[in-house]
Amino acid sequence: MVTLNLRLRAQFANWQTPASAGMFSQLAPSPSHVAGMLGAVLGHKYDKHCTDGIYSSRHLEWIQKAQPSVAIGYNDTIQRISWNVNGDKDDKGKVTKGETLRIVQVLAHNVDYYLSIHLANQGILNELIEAVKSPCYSVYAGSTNCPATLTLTNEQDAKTWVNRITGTPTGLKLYKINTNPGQRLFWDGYTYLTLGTQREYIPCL
Amino acid sequence: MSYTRKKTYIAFAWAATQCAPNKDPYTSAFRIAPGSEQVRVSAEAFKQAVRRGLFASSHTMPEYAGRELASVYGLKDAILGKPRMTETLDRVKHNFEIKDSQFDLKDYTTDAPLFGIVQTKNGSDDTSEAEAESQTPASGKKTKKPKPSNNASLPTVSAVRNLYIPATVHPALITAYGRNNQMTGEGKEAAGSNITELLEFGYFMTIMEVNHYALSENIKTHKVLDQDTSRWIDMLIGAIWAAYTTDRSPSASQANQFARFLLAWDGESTEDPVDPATYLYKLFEQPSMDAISTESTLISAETAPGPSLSKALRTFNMPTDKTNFRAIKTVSSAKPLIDTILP
Repeated sequence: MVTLNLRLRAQFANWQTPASAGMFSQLAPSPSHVAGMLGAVLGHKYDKHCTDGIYSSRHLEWIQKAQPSVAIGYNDTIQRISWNVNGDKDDKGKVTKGETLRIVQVLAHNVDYYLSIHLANQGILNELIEAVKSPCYSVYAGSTNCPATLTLTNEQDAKTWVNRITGTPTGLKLYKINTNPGQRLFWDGYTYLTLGTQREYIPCL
Repeated sequence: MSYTRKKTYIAFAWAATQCAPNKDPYTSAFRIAPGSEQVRVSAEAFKQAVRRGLFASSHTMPEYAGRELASVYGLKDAILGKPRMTETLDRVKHNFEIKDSQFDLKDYTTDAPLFGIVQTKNGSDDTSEAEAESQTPASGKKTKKPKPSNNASLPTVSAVRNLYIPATVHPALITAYGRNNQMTGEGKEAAGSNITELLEFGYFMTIMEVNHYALSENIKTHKVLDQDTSRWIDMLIGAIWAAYTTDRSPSASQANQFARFLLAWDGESTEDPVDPATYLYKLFEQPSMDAISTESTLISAETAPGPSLSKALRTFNMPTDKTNFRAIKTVSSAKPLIDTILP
């Protein structure tokens, strides 16, 4: 098992989960959000439809090979911001025929995360480092109106964050990957979060 | 790695006077950055403006001659009405005489390959799923077969993004103005009144990033324009400039927005980019907001933001030689500032 530490920053983030009641962002990304971002930098484009969305068959193969698990730390300056926009679809993703729809969005604002990613072996780690240095597709923090930058951590970052992440990061177990035909990837587990000196475990889907 | 690492960065600045560049649709309030009083414009609103520029540029392309209305899918315009996917699909189908029941919008329009299309519910192409659905599940209920969408595409990955969304480089002054409503019709004794907030002055700046690989993937099956990435980027640069010069919005609350400068260059992704609007903001923290209500105050010799701006843009690998810029556009009032930025 090898570890890659990354820093993820964005002006806005939209981390939705099934429990987030529409466009209400969680404070930190779930493991499946991180999985999506890694897929983007590696160039694993989605190629299949399924009942509840889309997925990349190439990325599913990579996940089974790399066996990643994630720990996430974030700073305590994080806050939410109301960012409502005009839209074109209803909450089920259907195109509406009536008036242009307004979408209520509450996004996380000025986010700065420290991601600690555990991977199966050194070869996979090296491949991922190269991809993060020159990402194939751009990285977004949850949705396309939230551009993000994903960078390798430097020494300064490590010094800043060393006091924020304490103890051993909790690795995640791959819980359910396409167990039923046509089902989307879910990566279940517990995200390890630090908020100042307070430590919380938040279940994420 | 087999893909190109190349990116194009576009630094774009415009000035807005006595207008409302973008407001929250629910609260009708300006999008003010907490703490700094900078006014922001959402990336969606900015892209809407650029779509207007793309629509204008389609009139100069022989490939779209007579079919300009089908050149942009998400255009908010007085002629086309509000942007709606269903209407656009019909318009594209009609203009290009498409006989297939399913087609891909990104192969016909100019904005879809650049800005992407997000659509989540789109039927299924998973054969194993179709087999699973043909069997009756244990609950006894028959599952519904997914309906194929008219647009056959998977969502299109966005190739262009506002890495930092447009924001004023200074704390902005907003004033509420009272207005009388129009009094029309019989039986109305008096006109009502309302309050409208306007931005007195705003010098906006944004940084856009074009991912060459994503763009080349999006345009490789384009049926109207050729697959020359360079031409597409030049088209985008022209559209941004046109949207704030010759083809500005006719809306009374948005018309007073004028381009100041645009710098575009090719480079690779950077390690640690800096938002120039935040960087420049530090220069203007001290003067009172009333003082920063005109452009001349902002770009005065005392404040001289050029070197700082130049430093911020260098984090995006801005070239050190003038000849390596893809595009340099400026109006006369911003020329002194540009002269201090450029190498």
